[in-house]
Amino acid sequence: MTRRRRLTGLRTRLAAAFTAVALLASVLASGISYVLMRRVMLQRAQDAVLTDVRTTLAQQVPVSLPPDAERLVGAALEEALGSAPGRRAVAVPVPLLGGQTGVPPPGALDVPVTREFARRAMRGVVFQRVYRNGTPYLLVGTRVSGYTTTVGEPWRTTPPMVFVSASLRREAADLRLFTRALLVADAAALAAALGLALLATRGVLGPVRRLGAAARALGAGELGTRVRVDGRDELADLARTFNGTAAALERTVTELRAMEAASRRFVADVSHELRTPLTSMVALTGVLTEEAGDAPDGAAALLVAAETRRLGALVENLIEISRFDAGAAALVLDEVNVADAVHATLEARGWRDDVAVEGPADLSVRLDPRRFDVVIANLAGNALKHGRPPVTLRFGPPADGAGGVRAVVADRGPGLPGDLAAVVFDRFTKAEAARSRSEGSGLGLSIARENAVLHGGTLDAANGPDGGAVFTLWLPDGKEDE
Amino acid sequence: MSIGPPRRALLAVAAACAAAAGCGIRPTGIIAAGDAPAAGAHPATVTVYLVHGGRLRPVPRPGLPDQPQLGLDQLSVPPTARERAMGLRTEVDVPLEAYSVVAASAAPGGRAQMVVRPAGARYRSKIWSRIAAAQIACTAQAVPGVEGVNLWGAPNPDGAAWAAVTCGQFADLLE
Repeated sequence: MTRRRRLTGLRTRLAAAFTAVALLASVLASGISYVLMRRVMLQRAQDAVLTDVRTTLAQQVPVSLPPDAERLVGAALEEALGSAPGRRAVAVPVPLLGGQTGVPPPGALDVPVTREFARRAMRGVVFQRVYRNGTPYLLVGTRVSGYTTTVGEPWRTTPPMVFVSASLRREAADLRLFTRALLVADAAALAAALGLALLATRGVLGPVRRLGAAARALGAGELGTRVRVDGRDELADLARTFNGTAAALERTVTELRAMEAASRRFVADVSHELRTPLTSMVALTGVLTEEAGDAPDGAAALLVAAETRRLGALVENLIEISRFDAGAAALVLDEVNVADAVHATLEARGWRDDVAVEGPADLSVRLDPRRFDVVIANLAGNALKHGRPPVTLRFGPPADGAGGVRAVVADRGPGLPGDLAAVVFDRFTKAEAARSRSEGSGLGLSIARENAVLHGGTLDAANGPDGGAVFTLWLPDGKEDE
Repeated sequence: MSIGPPRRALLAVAAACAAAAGCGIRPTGIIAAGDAPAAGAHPATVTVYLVHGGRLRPVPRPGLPDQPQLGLDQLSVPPTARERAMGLRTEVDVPLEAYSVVAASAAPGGRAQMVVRPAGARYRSKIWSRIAAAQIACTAQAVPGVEGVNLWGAPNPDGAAWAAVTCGQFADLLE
């Protein structure tokens, strides 16, 4: 992932683009200069040969020739044109008689002359670049115009045609040298472009990296994160915007937290204020029910007493929740025999016969006995109230060897409706929302989970394979913490 | 790393440019480079002595640049159609070899002797007719600066192969 990001990252892309542009520019410039250079070089070489041929012919060939002097003229022309290094010249009779072709004999020049070339040479100066054995040659052919001849015997007084081959070996070598120089220059330009690109991208990518790290820190909850703003470019603008956003976010979150804390404190205060009068009321209604045992309005007194007890339990739960919210809940660990603790819990609630318990009798775990009691009681009570019997409670060491204790409470009821499974541990969540006066407070499962989390354990809800809700509790062994 | 379409296009353009330019010297077809050059030399004419009815007649012929002895070469060439029509012919029937020599004792700018002999070994035994010797002597002396001829195989009283001849010896043959 990191490697992939390196390759497709901003730095690589910027550097690649930079380098590509530099390479394109330098290759284009080299190409153009190469083409121009070659054209000029070849033009000059060709012009030199052509001018030499023209001048020599004009100077050496008289306007009128003595009879049968063609060989003499040809020899003089060959001597004058073929003496330069790399050049060879040959003179051939203009094909006026049968049997003459105007093509020089093979081997007279460095390159063979084609019939077509000789034919074109009859009409004027022609040239052609030819490769022969890997060496480039310039082949020039022409005849002379503007001479006078006799009507009867024109072949005796016609000046010969001339063919010249000039080696372009030196020009080819110069071009190779030039190409090598261009390649070296291009390579240097490429290296320089790469270096510059890396330097330039460092300037861009440093702020981007800092911004990324700051955004990650902000996402992780460090709301005080800010970025250093330097420069006046777009990146500095972005950093400034980021800082503004982070400040606004921090302000909002702080306000929300303060409001939430205030409301929780309010709940805690209210609960505490309610607790004292409620305690007295619970005691008084107890007395009232005993006194009104046989009275005609005894049913009302019983109802008042039951509701008052429920109210007392709700307030106790609220106070418990408030402690969790305030972070005031503390673990009091002790070595506990799980089987004994479970039995004690069920015994105290009078559910001994309603819940089937399975588990080893000798499992001993270090945990908070009071909180374990609360969790087991809440889970069993929830199963008894909302599920249907038989309710089973199986406990034992976890199968994955994580240590601690794993307890599963299952019933055979309708199970959790689909939309409830996700929020079953939320406060005041009830299976039958329409029934506002249910027996539960709606806080039991929430408190159970808070207790499990306080232990560093988990509490999960699910539906069993053959119906019914299944709550799975895992509490780690507290030994490791001490 | 994937190469985006624009960059791929740029690369393609660069490659196309490079391919179009090619490397090294490219061969070409046959290219015309203007009209044929006009003959422009006007060398001095040479005088050749031809035979006209048993007598010698000087005939001018076009010269060649830097070849003052061209007349001796021209002696062995058949006369042109026009000369033949005028009744001219040549008695020199073998090609000649000629070079001029200047005596070492002679003053600078002194007159030179022309050494003439038949070209090629198979004419070594050549015996010239009198009129042919006269043609050679007079044509050679028509070359500026030549005052006499050393001719191989000329009729010579003492039987030597080389004989000094001058045009003056054949004054009776001149028209």
